[in-house]
Amino acid sequence: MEKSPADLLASPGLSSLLKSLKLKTKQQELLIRVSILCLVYVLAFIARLFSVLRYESMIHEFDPYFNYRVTQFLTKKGFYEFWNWFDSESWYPLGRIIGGTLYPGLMVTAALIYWTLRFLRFAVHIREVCVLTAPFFAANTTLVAYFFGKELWDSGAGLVAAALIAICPGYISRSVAGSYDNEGVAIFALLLTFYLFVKAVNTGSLAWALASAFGYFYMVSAWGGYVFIINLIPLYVLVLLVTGRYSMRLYVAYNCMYVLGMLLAMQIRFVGFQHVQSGEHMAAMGVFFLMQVFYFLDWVKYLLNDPKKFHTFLRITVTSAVGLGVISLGVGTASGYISPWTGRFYSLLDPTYAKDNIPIIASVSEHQPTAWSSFMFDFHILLLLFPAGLYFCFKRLSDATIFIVMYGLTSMYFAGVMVRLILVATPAVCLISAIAVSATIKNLTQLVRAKSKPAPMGKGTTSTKASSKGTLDQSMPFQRNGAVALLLGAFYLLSRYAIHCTWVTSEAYSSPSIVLAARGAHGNRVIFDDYREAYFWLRQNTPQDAKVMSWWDYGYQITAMGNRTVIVDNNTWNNTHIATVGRAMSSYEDEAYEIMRSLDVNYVLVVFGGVTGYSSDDINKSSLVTYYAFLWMVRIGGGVFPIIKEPDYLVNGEYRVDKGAAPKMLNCLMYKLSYYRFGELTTEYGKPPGYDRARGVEIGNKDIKLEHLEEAFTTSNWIAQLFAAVVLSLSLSGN
Amino acid sequence: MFGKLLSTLLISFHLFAILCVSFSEENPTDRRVLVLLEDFAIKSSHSLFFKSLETRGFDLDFKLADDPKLALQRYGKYLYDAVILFSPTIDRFGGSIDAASLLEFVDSGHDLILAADASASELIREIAVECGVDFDEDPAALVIDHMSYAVSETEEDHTLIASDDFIQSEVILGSTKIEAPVLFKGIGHSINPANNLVLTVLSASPAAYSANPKSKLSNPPTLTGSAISLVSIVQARNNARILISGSLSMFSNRFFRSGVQKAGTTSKHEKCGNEQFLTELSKWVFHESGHLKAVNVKHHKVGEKDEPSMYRIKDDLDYSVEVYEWSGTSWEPYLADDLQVQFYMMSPYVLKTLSTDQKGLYYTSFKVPDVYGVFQFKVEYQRLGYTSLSLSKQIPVRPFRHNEYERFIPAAYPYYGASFSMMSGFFIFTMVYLYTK
Amino acid sequence: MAAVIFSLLVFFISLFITTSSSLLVPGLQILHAERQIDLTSHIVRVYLTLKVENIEDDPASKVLLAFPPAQFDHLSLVKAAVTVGKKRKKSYVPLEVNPTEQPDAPNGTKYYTISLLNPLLKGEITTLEILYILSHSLEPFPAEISQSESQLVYYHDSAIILSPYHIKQQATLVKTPTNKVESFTQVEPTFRTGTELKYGPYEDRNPYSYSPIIVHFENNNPFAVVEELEREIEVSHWGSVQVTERYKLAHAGAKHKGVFSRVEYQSRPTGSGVSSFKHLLAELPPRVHSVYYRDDIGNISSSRLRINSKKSELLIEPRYPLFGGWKSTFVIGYGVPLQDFLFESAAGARYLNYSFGCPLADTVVLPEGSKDPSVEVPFAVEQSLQTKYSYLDVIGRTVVVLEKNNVVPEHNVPFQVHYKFNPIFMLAEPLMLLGVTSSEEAARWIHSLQDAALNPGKDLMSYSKENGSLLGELIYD
Repeated sequence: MEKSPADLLASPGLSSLLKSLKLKTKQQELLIRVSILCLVYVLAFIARLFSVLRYESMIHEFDPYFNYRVTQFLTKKGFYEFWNWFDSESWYPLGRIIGGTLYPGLMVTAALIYWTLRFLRFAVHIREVCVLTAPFFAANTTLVAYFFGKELWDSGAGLVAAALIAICPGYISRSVAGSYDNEGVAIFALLLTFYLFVKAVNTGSLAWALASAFGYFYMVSAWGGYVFIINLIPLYVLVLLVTGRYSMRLYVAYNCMYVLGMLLAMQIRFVGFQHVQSGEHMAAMGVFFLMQVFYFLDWVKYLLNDPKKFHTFLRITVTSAVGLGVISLGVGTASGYISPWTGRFYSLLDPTYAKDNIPIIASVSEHQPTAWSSFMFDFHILLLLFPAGLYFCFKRLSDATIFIVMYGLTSMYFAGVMVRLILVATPAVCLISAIAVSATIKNLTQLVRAKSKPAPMGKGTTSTKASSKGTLDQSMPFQRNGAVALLLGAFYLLSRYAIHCTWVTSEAYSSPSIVLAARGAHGNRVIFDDYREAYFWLRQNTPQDAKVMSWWDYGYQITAMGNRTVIVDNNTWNNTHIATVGRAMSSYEDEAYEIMRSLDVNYVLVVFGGVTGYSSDDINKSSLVTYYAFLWMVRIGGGVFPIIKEPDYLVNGEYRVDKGAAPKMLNCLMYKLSYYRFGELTTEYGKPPGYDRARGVEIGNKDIKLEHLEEAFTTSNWIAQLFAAVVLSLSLSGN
Repeated sequence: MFGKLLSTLLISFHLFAILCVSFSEENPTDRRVLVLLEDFAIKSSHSLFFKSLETRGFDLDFKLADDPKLALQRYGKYLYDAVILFSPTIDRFGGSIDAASLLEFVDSGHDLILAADASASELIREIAVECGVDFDEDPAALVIDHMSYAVSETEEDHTLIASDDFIQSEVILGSTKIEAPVLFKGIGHSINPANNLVLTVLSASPAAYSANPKSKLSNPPTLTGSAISLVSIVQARNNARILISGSLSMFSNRFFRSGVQKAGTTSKHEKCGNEQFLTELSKWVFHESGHLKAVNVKHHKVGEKDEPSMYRIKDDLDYSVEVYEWSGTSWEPYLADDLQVQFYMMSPYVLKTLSTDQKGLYYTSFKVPDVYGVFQFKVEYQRLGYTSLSLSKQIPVRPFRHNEYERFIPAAYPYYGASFSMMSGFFIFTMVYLYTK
Repeated sequence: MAAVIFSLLVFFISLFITTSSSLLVPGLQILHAERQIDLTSHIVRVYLTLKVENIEDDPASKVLLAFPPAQFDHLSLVKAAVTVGKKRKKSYVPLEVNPTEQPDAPNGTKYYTISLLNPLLKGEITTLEILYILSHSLEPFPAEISQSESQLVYYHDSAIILSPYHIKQQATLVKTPTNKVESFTQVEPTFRTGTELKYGPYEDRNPYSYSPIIVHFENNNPFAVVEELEREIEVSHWGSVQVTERYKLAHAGAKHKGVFSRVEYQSRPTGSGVSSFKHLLAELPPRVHSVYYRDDIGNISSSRLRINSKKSELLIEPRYPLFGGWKSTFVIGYGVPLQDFLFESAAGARYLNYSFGCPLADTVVLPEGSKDPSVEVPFAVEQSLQTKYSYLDVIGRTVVVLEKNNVVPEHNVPFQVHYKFNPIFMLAEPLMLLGVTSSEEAARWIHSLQDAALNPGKDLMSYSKENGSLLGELIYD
């Protein structure tokens, strides 16, 4: 499994085996290719099952739980109910129109798989289908990668690309079994769309363009990242136009893809008319019109075959066309018909934008700018092969290679802006480095082979080879040994890569962040299942219409597993509502109680790692590593309610929870709830009671009294604490 | 055999008496009242008041306030529905009773009559303060009034006040107007302005002030004029009712019987207003009057019978609720024209006055606003003297389904026209292009 | 609460009235009656020893047991046996017992009839040993307790045995779990020593005499009640019987009131939450394999399996300790080797022999293609047939559904399901399996993985109370 197909291709053992069974070279090659593809396919699937082996077949993290819940609803109630689903259990009391505010692609796909399996009498549970959707599509992605690579370069490159993308950590991170999220499907759709479009451009056939339009439709239905496509493709087309590579093929491909794709995309409720109304989609439309202008010019040129006249005409038309476009855009924006760019889009172009303007986006850890180390972590040697691949692409420039180059460069930039966008860059990186690998290995193997063959044949081969090799023919021994050495080096690197990927997958990317595993004192494996303990308690022992207030991270999980109404959840569509919760959490108890009463809150859920040393809990200090940071509640709350001021919680700019902490910090709701009766507990031997293991300090406020809340349930490791709001206490006190 | 049967009979009766809970939604009037006295003399000296209670069917359980076996509850069940504190100077109760347990008793919806007096103890004051009433700090202070004191043949006692400015409420003081002024001799109190649950039922005249009659008045008194309240009542959020009086003697037989003539007036009543006043008040405190209940709240779409699980925006719906008043013996329809229902989501979207059929049924119908979300039907009703009603019922409101919009919008006819003309145009064009020349 | 006592009171008064008009089931009298009421667990076991004599000429073949209606509703089991032989070789012969209606029963008294082996002639004396079990007869009072309090319950009964016969001499012994007895009704003579409470002896009681007593005592046994339980036994001729049990568990004791404090609960296990329970013990058949324990949000990682030759014990721990009024639902599944339970009766005819356990609904899923099933159960159950589709089924599997209410551990007896099966059908699915997809493999694989993932988390059991109660002890209502 740790052999990349590239060396399978060249390994003498296999070739001799093929010799033994009587096959022509063509068939041999085909056989090898198919078998390798199958291997890669299976590899891609099972490499993603570590999490199931380590834990169980369960849904991971946060958003997947929402998708899972929605999928269950879809399979139970049918498509139309799902389409019109108004969910009154989230965003109390506003509610949420689920059908109109999500990308249904993932759920519908899973449901279809489920129904087919059911039809075939496989009594699978919907959960297993959801768990395995991502790996399944990852496996399919390898096939697409193969064809794409083949389209770009040659079948060898395709195979290498398939193999690389099958185990590339950057992709695995979002597609392990159980991470049932849009990205799992979307990357497949993204790559498919690109492949089909490139195919269409190369062939200029309506059929491929149509296919790519449908690919685009699937992408739109699956993920908000489709905006990347609808901006990259026009950019690409523009570049082709500028570099004078305009052709009928391009015209057909783009127009068909754009028009149909746009019409199809409008069918998704969540997208609606954005293609004609929002600023992010205007580039595509502009390019579309530009295409028409070009076509028109061609026609005119053909009509009046007089360069001077034509040039004057050209000047007029181009200027007027551009002017017209600019004016219309200006008018549209001014009249508000064309909405301006959204914050997320800005924050993509300008990394510092979100931090100042949209804390809710900046508060999410995967929206932080990428650290260099995580590039290395996710790409490993691909990071080195990428430039080499670019070099090869530029050496053999074609419409296709131009596309992959642009895809690679742009996505690399975005990957640098946001951690999560490494995902988008991964396919490009894999493809480009695949080109590098296969090209090098091909050259080298040819070198090696050339020597092993008689001279005349050698000449034949050299003639076919790149011009650079011709010059090398003089210094044979060095060059041959060098080639062998280089080959070995390449194989070594590739195997390192394979090892790295397997390691990363099993260690880093396979934990379902809802069940926590730790090494016990005797080196044995301890499991903290507190989240589900709390959610199940909620589900079983609270009234059906109880409302739970928690920070928005846990909203989806509470609705999916606890089956109770939440105030805010991970779909952060209403900033004010979230800010209200943030304010409640960060103000004094009685103020918070008023807010809670206005929202009819019955229970408050707080996540606290002080006992177990689980550092990503609600009052965590480090706002960069994780996004459960209490400071973000303060910031988001303060963004809407200026009463909440961040400095009140800091001691000269420093965030502390011990004795030196700011008084407001020591008495705000979140602090009181987290550390309620924590002062009586001795967490670590030789440390004073109330020693917080997550932050490594002794807490500052040890005797915490609650007036309006009471402890309803606390899980066995204190990770999740539930507090019930006492209804109508103090019936005597006035006002 | 017989003896055994009898004994078991008694046992089970005993248990029965202890365990049954008489204060119920069905019959809100208290039944079992604990009376805490300083000494049993009060029982006889105030017998008229107690008699009036007993004749109204309360079983009074007289105990000394420092009786070591005192207990309000047993195994988490309260043994009494109400407590009468006629022990102004007690410093600590016997048994398990203390200020906290008494307040807990009230917090769980039971009633309390508290009579203080000159030199009221800290304990009594503490309880009063918790209820939002502050007695004059000076323990020796009495309410003195040189204008409207009760004239008597023997000696001029200006601390014996004849007051007649009552609270204007038929619910609390009964329908028949109290003619004669009420005799009062005791400590005055002021009500905590921050607490909006307390009401003054009997307040002193503008000329009154609270001071120690023995000592010479050195500095101006803190409590003066009609800011002094002599008797006040509290209705807690859970409709527990409390009566606080600054004078124990106003309950006494002597006061009940004695006639009164207010100073400066010629009209002489041969019987003062105490009996009527206090009887009516006790009726109110023990939920014999002014107790409302709201039953079977119904709501449904217009023209339908059963309650939907969810409404759609712009639905028309009917809402109805039945409100009854406890007359002391039975539930009578409550008559009012100011009951309102809110259709509420963080703020009322619809606010309508309910119309009634004079038989207790209140109803209205309105259109669901064009906003989706989880709404509540809220009825918040607070009237002077009545128990406060607060009903809320949650109901989600969904937007239109995909097939509930109308098919063709007039505003869009240009677009329809454009598209169809485009199609036909394209068809014609192809025809022309293919089949000409 | 009040209502109960009141009704009881009324009942008793009316008794008192009716006794005067002495209505008698003639023929018998009871020379000596001894009753032991065992209140130590949360179900009430009553052992009754009657020495019956026939005082009339015509032989009596039946003996009546009388119960007040309130008790009768909670009766989950009545057993009777007659002692034969003298001191040395004393042996018990079980007798047939079944409920009967009497024409003129005073104020709704309900009866069971014990039919004797051979009718009792005049002057003959026989001794009957009777056991009956009452469920839901302990009423928590106070009905709500906080974490630190311990659980007190009421038990209502009569000091004098309710009987249609004249009883010459009788005594009643009440056993309480601890010697913490809050109060008890005095019916002289009454003695109390430690955990024992003795009523009587009472001489010469008329028929239908009754004197209600209430015992108020501490009982911290986990009032674990299974509200629903379905068990599915799936027979596969490929060598295993797969059993799935769906539980709906609740703590039916005094409701938990106020806060639940984890500090208290962890630091003072003896002082707080004494009436709560943390885990249960499920007894599984021997040689059980691939056990799993999960609920509808995933696998529950806290459980321990002990397997020995005679039986396997599964110590299951719900996600959270159950306090009064708290609920929990979970699923236990396991496989057992086929040859232990499936036997061939005739050619092509097989029968499954499995113990009824304590489920309320027992569904037996026979392999696809099995024909005309029939059931042998030693007691009355509701039966019905269904069809179920599992992996790669075409015509569906035959499902036999057995339902029974008000079950107690004593119903744990084997039952048989007979059916015909043609081995050819075994080959149907493998043939289809040739075209199996990877996802299906994965799905099955995951099933097995879940079983594997069951046993970690030994040290999660670190602070678990010792007195894990027996699942067999549960009441099923």
